[in-house]
Amino acid sequence: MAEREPGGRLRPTADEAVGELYAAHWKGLVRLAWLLLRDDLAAEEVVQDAFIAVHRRWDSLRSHENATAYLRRAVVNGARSGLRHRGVEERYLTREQGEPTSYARRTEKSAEERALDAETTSSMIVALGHLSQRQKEVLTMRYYLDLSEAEIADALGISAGSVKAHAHRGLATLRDRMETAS
Amino acid sequence: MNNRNGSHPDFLHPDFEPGEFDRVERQLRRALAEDTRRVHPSHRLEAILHEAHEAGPVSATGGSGSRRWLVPVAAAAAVAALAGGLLWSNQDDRVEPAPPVNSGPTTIATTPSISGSATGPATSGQSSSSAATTAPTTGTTTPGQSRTMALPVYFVGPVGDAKPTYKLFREFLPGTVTLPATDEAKATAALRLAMNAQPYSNTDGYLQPWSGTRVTSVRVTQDRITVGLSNGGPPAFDRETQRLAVQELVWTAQAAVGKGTIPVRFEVPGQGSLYGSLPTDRDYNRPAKDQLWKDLAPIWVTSPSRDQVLPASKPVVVQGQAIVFEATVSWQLSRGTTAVKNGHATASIGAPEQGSYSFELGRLAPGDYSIRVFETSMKDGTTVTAEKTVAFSVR
Repeated sequence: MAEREPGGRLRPTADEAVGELYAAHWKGLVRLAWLLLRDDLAAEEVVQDAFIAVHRRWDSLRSHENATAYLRRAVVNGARSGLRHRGVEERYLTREQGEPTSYARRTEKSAEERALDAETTSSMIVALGHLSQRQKEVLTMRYYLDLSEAEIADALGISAGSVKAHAHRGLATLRDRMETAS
Repeated sequence: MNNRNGSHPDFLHPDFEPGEFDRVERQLRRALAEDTRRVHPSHRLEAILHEAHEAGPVSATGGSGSRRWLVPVAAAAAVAALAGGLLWSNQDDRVEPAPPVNSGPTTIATTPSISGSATGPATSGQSSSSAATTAPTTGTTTPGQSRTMALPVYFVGPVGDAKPTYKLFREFLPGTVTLPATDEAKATAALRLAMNAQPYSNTDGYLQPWSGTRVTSVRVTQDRITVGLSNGGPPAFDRETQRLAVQELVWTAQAAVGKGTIPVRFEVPGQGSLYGSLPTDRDYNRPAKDQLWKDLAPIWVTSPSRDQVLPASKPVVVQGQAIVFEATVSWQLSRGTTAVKNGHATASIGAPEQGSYSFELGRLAPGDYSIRVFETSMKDGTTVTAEKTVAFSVR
């Protein structure tokens, strides 16, 4: 629904706004949270809470842009708290190290999926898991969500320069690990 | 958004050679895409809307001068945050002392800063405990139009024990809300749905204690919701059912308004009571957080919703709310009349509080299913003390 501010304003209700934001971002954000948390249900919970928070703050968020930025911040923060409180990351890393090809923890892979760079993907994901949380967040937002440097800086509450620095160190580490592995 | 391939000179530090990270960037991008392909989020919009409505807007939850109802609202937010055993760090959902200081009936005056640590609306003044009407008007919508919205609706139904005992179940149902969708309009629409349990009485055994009664008016202020009814209901039910029937309307109105546990009053023309026994000159409210079992059924299934059709391509996730001993529920999945799977799940918190539970059924072959979630007696481990069954299909 169109948003007209501030004159003869026609703002979507919180329900409508959240419905639209949900349609646009639910899946992507759950997947982002999953990449950070490695836990299906925890990822959904984190993003669900973020959407609830947006609904409850809709009067002050006022636009989809603000709300989207808020969602990203909430998801990243929520994933961080989730990691702290559940230790899911440790469990994940332990599991991955035990079974190098188990990155697709969920189910049946097709033969072609298996063939297609499964090993590269697997070792890349494992390598990503060894990065610092900040580096992982920056790289995931960049290379999974395709966010800009400014958007990432906003979502993480850090400077653009720090985003660059984290991206660099992270990529350099990944490159080194991948080269060692291959 | 941005170019999907190659490196991003703008993004990388100037000390690095262009192209230095091309390969690792490509690999990383592909790995992330591959890796997430298996993640199929379940559908949670109803749950989001429900939780948000129950908790109410952040800018409004601190609004009343009464501290009394701040506690349950904070508790509701805490339950929402705890749903996955997760705690917020900066995203603090606790009730903030930032009341809406709106003196007129149609303004939403808060313009807080949301950037940075996102701590919610800035405090722009202190509460006046006067009952300013804060019905949020959504602008210049033409009156008389309506829109279908998902509304929280409570019904009185059997909890699933042998007696049977009756308590409240919550549904999220599509309702016709007249525009502008004020608190009054939403509450009216939700109450109408709550008072018409007929569509669900065969499938879910919901009682119809209000089948001869209509909602005639709803007024919402910061500290009271006033519901006008066409009559006080037939005196045909026992005292506990009468009480639950009234609580059904209280819960529904409060949830639809979504601003916390605002006390509810009833007005019945020419009658001083509901069902001839419950006086209309007093406030009605939800019980305290540790007393919710007095009103609410022990087990709710919130997803899948009744008769929902789910895609065969995605794993089915069952979600619900439970007030159960040691936070444990059992479940059984049936296809037609054949049990095909069973298991246990743990809620986020045990009785006497209401916790959230969630479990996965995996991908299911197309067919008609029902999921039964139940609690067994601590005494013998077999007697079912509460249960709820929801039918759904996979296509």
